[in-house]
Amino acid sequence: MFAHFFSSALKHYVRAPMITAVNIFGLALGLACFLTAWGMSSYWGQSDSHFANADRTYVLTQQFQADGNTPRSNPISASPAARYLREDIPELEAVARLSGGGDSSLSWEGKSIATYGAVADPELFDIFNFEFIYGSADEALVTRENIIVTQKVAERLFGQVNPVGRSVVVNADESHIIVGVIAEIPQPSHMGDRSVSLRQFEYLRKWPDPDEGDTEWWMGVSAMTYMMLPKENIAAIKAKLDRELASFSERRIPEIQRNMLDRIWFDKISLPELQTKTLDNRIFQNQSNLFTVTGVLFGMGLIILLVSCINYANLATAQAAGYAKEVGLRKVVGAGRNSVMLQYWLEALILTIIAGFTAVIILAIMSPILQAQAGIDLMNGLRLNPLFTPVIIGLVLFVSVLASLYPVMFLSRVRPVEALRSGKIKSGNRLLTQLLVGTQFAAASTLLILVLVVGQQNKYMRDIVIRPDKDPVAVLVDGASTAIGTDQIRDALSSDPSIKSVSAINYVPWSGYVNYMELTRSREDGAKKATSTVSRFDYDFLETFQATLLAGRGFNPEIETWGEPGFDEENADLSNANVSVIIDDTYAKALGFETPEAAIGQNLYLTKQLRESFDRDPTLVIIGVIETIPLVYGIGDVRSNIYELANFSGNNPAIRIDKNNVKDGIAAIERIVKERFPDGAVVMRFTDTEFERNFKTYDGISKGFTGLSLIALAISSMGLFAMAVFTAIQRRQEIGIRKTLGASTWEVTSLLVRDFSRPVFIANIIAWPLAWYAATTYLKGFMQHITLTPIPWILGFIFTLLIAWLAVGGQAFSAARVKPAEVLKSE
Amino acid sequence: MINLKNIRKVYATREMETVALNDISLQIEKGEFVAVMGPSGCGKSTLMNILGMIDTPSEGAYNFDGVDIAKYRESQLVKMRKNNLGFIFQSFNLIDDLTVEDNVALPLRYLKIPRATRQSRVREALELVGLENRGKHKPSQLSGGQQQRVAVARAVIADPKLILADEPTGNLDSQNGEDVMELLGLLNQQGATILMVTHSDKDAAKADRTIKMLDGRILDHGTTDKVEVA
Repeated sequence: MFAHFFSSALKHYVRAPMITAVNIFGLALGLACFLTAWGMSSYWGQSDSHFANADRTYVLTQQFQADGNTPRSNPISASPAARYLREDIPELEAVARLSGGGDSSLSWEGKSIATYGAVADPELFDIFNFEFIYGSADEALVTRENIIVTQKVAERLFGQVNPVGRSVVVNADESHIIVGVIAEIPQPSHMGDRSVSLRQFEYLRKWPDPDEGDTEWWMGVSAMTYMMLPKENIAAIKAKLDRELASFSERRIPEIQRNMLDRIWFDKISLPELQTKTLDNRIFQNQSNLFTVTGVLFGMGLIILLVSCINYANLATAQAAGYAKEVGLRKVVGAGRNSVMLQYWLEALILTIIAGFTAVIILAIMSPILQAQAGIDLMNGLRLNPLFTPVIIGLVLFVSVLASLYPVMFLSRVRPVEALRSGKIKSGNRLLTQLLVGTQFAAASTLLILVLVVGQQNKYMRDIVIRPDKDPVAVLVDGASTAIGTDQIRDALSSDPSIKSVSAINYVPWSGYVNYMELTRSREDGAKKATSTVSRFDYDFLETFQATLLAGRGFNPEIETWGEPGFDEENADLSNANVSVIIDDTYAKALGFETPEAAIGQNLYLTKQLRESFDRDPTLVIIGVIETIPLVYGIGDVRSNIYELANFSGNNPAIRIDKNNVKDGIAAIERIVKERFPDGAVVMRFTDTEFERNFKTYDGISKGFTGLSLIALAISSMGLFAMAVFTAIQRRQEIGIRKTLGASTWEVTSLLVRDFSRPVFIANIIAWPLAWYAATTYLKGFMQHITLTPIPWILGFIFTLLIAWLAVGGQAFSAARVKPAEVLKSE
Repeated sequence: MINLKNIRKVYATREMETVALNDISLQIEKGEFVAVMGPSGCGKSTLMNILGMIDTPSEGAYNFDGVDIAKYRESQLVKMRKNNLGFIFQSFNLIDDLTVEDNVALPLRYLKIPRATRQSRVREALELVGLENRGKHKPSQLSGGQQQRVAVARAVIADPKLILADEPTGNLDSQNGEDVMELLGLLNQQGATILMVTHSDKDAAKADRTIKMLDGRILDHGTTDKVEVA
């Protein structure tokens, strides 16, 4: 019997090869999308699982609440937290910190390489069982002189030899003895030597002990603080940890620091959840707690899978109307309902199995792309999951049942007497089909609008940052360069024709750093106030960053006193200090100045809350208003910038190089650093390339949306095509009648196309507010962003409509060309 | 009004040719009520389709109201059809998704008649068939007889020169059948030209003359002397 069913199925496939291909491809796309979502979640879900203690390790989170925003769990905390956790919960088996790391140079016997270093507590090696190639965890980071390097760094610096015991120089001034070489950390992990790693490092040094009498600072968070629970009595200790964390802020943070914000509190994330929760935070930008990355991924994967099942159901039902006579005959000669159901389910199962294989081929093609774009090894994520085989078998069975449910039920209920009389039966519910197709198009249209908005915004960002008409600016980030100091570098390069100007900046542009504060126009309660980012520059920053001065002047060494060499910010009496600041035009507007000129000479003050917390009350005098220099992505609703003077060492020198002489400029910079620190490796970051490097995440989002919208559009179009096929069969009689009564082919075609356009039109109306919400959420992540116009919405509408017409036009036309005499005879 | 000359209709497949109409010549005058009878497969429906311009002859000439339409293109036939013909089918052929009013108004829509005129003419047509209170119903909510009366209203609404009725009582019980035939008689008295295909001698007797067909040929053109049935 099965052989007979199989041969019947083959005949049906051969009879309608195009519909069979559409069915297979539609199901394959749906399965591929779902498996991609599952594979990505699975990949992140396996994160750090190779560490033996992963399931009893937690990461401390420290939350700040200001201006009513509720941030999500950021897995970083202030450095004093670790010490108090050890004191408050002695049952914890280990507590360790790992810093964020930074660019630096490692040198050995005249050879120098640029690396990315970090500092950590020695307990890190109790929690994480790193694989040691040379040396062991016993001595790791026991003293400040120790250093652990990764295998790659060891090979770059020493070649294939055991370097344990050798002395290396960090940032041209600190010597360390190598006590261990660790193997590359298996991925997926939150640690690693890649820039996408949450904790990137290529070597580890011991976390420096605080100096005697240092104030504990809780407002700066850079440490990842790990807490490992003991194996025994884990539930009770976990409960105690939760209790202690609930009151940790009140007990341990000094009141004066606590009062600087609305609220500060602590929580924990389990290590296996660290990657996904951090991604939620990064991608959804603290905007909403409704979405999680895995939730959205699974949701989209599931929707696309369901849509492809609906497509199959639509097409199969449309085809089923043509099989009615065959089914009627089978029933007359003895086939029962179950036999009919089994036959048509098997037909669906065979197609789903083929679609499953096609999906795996699609995934194998997509996997390297995903690996290159997002560092996600999709195939590995799937293969390593022990549930892979049972899930894929279950999925194929589930999809075959779901997709064939309606057509199978429909065929099994065919009454032989009706089917044999006309050979046809009335099939399906048109409203339901329209609703389902509409839902598909709503998803496609939302994604399409987002593609357009994201694309527009990304192009806008590129246009304002990548300026071929301007000179490139190199920011020096290595220890040697920062140690030399901006003034010395400026003096040394002043006569070099390839160097136009030298300044400094307190962060690496586009690196994700952002510092912001709220200022007011008077000390009175209720005075106009506005929040801005704060950047600190050295003299000549207007020339170096090629900013446009709108009013006033730049910082002048003859006038300014703030931030001069030797200035002691901590101990100076700032109660009556006058501080010169430059603001951008956006901030001038936010503060209520009608023109840039109106802001010059006006004073700004700290808000009452900050005045009391800092116990300072400086007067900030606006000396200049400039056009915004795009250097940071932005945070929340902050749209404006304030620029302070900082002329002390430790800032990153920023050097404007003649765009026609970049090679000579780079050589000149390297020469003057090497002259002073022969062991130093110069690490320079060009603002435009740094932007491109960090912009990959946004490009990835753009590509992701494009891919998803194309898939959604492809499946929706297949859905509409299915509906067109379905309708052509179902409305044959009606078309015949209309044509008999005088309708032309064109009139019938346009009637059908109009009918098909209706769900697309309604889908667009549903999509518009969804897309608006998603687009504004995305744009909030940028300090400079486009103004939303109706154009993406209109284009999205036109495009989906055109796609819909393309999908159904041919079917509608051929349906409309039917000869009424033939139809009415058979009816 | 209608003049068919040497009409042939051949259905050709790869294996064989089937001659549905063989050398048919026929004249129908304005205001005539003509019945066509014959056994199944004799070509009645094919003749009806050609007269109704929803099928074209393989050979021969079809002169409708002084115009030879045998070689007309589809678009020209559409124009002729909507301006000159009304159809009544055995299986009613109403559109299930449309209301009775919308079904009846359909020919006027294709003639681009303004909405206000359409509405008043639909009302008149429904009054004519006695269904003025059923305008908002869907066809599925009506009996077979009522559905056929809707079809009659639809057939007459555009004031066609010729009404083609294909076994109009074939799916009706005798009472409803008689009602429909009375309606056709009334339309004929009002000046409509009617050609009706039927298996019923009783219905055919209501016509002015009866054409008899067999194997694609006309055996008898009938006489125009009307015979009153007692």
